[in-house]
Amino acid sequence: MPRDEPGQSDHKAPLTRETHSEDGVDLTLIRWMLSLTPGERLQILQQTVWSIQDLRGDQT
Amino acid sequence: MTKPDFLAILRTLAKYQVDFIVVGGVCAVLHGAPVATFDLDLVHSRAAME
Repeated sequence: MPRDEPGQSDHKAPLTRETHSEDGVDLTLIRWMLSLTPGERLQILQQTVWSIQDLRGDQT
Repeated sequence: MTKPDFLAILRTLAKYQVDFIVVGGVCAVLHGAPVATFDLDLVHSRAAME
């Protein structure tokens, strides 16, 4: 089994993040949600729901 | 249709020390799932109250 030359293992490929999974799931969206606190995630959901209701023209 | 205020509902339940867990779509959101839901699903504790 060939051994790495000295310094060869130091040369690592830059880390790249995939934006979508193989079945098309948006990984950037998931990463963003995971960067938020649970309270912030709930705020986002609430704003989204209110926005959708406004777009639908739901009467309050 | 009234606008759901999930935060207010949860704050009120916590204020009155109601034992419950959040399930369903909101639970998924709290765990980081980017989904939309229009209702808050809760399961209350069935332990005997004093």
